[in-house]
Amino acid sequence: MKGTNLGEFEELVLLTVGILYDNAYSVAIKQELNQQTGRKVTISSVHAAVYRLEEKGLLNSRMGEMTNERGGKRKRLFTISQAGKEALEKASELRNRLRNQIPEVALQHLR
Amino acid sequence: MTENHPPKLPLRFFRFFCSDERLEELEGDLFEVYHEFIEEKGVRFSSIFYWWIVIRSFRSFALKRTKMKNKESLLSLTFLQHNLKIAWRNIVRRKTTSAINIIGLAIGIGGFVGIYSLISYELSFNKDISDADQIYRVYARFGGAFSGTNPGAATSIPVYLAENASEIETIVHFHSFAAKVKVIDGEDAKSFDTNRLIALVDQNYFTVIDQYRWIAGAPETAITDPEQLVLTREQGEKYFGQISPLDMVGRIVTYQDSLNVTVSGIVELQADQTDFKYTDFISFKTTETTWLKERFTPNDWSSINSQWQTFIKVPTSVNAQQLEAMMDRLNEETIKHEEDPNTWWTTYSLQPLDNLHYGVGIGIFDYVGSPTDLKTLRVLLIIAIALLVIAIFNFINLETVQTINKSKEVGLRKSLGISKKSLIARFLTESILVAFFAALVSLPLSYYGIIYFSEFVPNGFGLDLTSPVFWLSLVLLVLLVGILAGIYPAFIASSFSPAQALQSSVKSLGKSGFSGWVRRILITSQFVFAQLLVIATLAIMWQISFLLDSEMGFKDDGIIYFNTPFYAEKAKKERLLREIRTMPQIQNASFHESPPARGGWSTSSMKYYGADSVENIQAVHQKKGDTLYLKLYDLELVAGRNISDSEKRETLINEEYAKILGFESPDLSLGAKLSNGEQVYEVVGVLKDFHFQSLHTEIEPLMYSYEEVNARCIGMSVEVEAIESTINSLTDRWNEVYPDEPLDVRFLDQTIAGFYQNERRMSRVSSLATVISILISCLGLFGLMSYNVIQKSKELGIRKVLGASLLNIGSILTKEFLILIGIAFLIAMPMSYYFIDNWMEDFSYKTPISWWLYGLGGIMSLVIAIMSVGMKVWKVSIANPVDSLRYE
Repeated sequence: MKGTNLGEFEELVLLTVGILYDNAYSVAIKQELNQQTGRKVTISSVHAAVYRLEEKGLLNSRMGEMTNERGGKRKRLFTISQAGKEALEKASELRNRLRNQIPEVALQHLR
Repeated sequence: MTENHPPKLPLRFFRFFCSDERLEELEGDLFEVYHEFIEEKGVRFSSIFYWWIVIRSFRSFALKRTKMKNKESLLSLTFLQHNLKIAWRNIVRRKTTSAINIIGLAIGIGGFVGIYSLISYELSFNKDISDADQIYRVYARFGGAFSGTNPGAATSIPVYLAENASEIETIVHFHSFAAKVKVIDGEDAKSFDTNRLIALVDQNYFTVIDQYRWIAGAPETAITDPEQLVLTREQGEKYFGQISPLDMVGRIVTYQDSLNVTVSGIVELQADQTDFKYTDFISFKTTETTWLKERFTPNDWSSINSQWQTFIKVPTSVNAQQLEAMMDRLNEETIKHEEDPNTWWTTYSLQPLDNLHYGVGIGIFDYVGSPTDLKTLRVLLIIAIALLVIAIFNFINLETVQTINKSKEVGLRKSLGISKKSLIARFLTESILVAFFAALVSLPLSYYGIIYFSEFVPNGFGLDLTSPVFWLSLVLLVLLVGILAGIYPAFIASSFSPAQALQSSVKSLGKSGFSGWVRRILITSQFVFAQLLVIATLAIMWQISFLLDSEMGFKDDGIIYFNTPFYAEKAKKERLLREIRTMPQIQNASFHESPPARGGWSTSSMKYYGADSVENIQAVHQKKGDTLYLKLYDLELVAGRNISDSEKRETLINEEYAKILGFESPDLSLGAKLSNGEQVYEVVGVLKDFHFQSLHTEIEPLMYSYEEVNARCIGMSVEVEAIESTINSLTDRWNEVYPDEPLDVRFLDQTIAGFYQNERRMSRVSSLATVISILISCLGLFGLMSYNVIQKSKELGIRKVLGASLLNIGSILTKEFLILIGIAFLIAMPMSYYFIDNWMEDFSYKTPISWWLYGLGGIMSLVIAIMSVGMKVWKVSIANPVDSLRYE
């Protein structure tokens, strides 16, 4: 397993998977990201991210039900794993800790 | 949602590279994203988009895994990587050879791609019309006094067919015309130049010629009532500016100052490649309510005009025999309406829609360009393939002699146990890589080549760099060229025995034996082709300069002419002529229907009355005008006198006509009576024969008679030095008389040069092909010579020490090539004779191609060959022998 450090995009994807909870598959993640961040995210970058996260063990996945949509192809649905949850917490905690160490004065009189 | 399936090709590609375990989910995702795109942006670029997302997915998460089940594919992948790396190193190390290889192939591929794109462009016309095999055009053929064809049909034909031909499903009848256009926009009126692509159509036109997409309005309502107008989107934007098509509906457009019609529909063309290029469609019913009525004589059997077009669509159940029977019935009916069916008659034939663009001799429509000759396309295809082939030959030659350098590599690999198959794969990788670079270089070559030829290629043609098909074909071409060019050298190289190869005893490969012969044959065929082109180009240029230099039999330099508008009254024309005659720079201003030579022609059937009965009926070319005509154009009389302007029945004939009428000397024809059925003319003079048509045709019978009303052309002689100022002051005077019409001055000598445009085009293409083929062949010679020089450096060094002269050395190096070029010449000569002879058959007047032209072709290619290797030979000859001998 590679290191559990999260990249910025990976973190966004991981969070989005959490938001979508029961319906987190690649296209939905892409749409959600488009809406939430306003970024133009391509499907292949989402693919690259979710599969990498799965390899790192931060996501679990299962195949969805067979439907008539999508040309009859099943979806792969992702959920956050225990390790994923920890990684998220670690990331946000790290961020907060760093943020809190910035002295007040450094953020005043900004140009 | 479900009807839009993603395009097959990229999908197949995706399935090919995607790993099985992820294929289902990823394919589903792509499917969904594809549909999302369609919903947002429409189908227009959806296939490109799908290509895009498939290509973007070519990443590790989707690819078939290398840790995989079978070892074979892993091996081949690493081999490919390895081969590519070695190939790249090889290319970089041998810079000169690689450059020659790449440039040679690039020129060949560039020529091929450019010409091939042009051919496929020309072959893709009218493909947007459905059921093309059921659609025909009815066109006229004339027999009797003069023969010919006309793409139109008389106005009674569609009426007759509608009533009497149950075989037909739909009849399309339309009329094209030209008019000035005015658009009123609030207070101001915008005027536009004459539009020649206006058509009067009914609903059937859009039913059968269904190449249009309706953006506003519908064919059921937009073209069915009087004074309705349908525009193409482009034309609408030209008239009204960049507004939405829906806003164009309801606007009024005025044609020829008085015909007001209302826009009721906007259509869009899907592809450029169509012959139905009309931009303004006025409803046919408009003829009933406006002055258009006067242009239109319904139920007329006799006047046939290319503006009146009739198309039919038949159901698939109707077979060829039934169609033929139908046309026979029509022709029986036609002949009943013929005034004098024994001397002159019309029959109608069917032209399949598929043939519309290629019907040389029939013509397409007025003002949409001339048909493409399939024969020319075939010649072009041959040239394209030949260019590619000689480029491949070149590559084979250079690679084969280079294989010796690879002997060490081959020996080493073989002793380590590489299979012959893998070795061939290794060399093929290299040649494909070279072909790939060549294709990269070739793209700008053909792109700018097409721009350079822009006056000859059809408007709107260019390399379609956005089309996936283009790129895919290019990839295929690269593979094909790489394999074709590389396979033979690869076999040669991989057939060395390891011991021999490592001992470096493979010294001079290809001097003798099989591969030597292959090389000689390849060089010879390259030069056969190059010389063929050289000689053919020389012959074509020779004939063209003969045509342009030949005396036409009248004065053409310093003569300008222009036509006055046909609708204006005679007084205006006369006023203009009076003004012109006061200008001192202008001499002999004369009224006539047409100058002595022009593109078109008009003939009438003339009867000659002998002593008591009709003796001769003959189609005779008609020229008409005033009495100054002879003086202006320096036409000579061999008998009799000029016509006078008081007596309309006097006429002049040419010598040829006098001869045909049976007069032994021109003098005897004076006083002969000729009749066209309406009027009897008396011959008062005989003109010396002159060429009133291009030199493709022989001189035919002609007569010149007096005409005032219809003589719309004014011709005059001007001093060449003052031509610009003369035209300026002419324009001023013209604008006073015809403020609405632009002055279109033509130069007679340019008109005549225009007769040979096709030949010039041919000569331009063949000279380019010549240059390319010579370039490739010489690149090849240069490469071979560089190699030869290295191989023979020791021999030459020793010879020089022993006192060999420059000439000796030169002859040792070049002897073999010179012999091969000589043989090539012997083969090329009869072949080119045959081709030139064939080509010349189109001309009634041709210059003899003397033997020295062939000789010149041979010598030229020889000189170019010697020049291309000369530098190398020279360098060796003056080199210090010590340099080449000291090594050991």
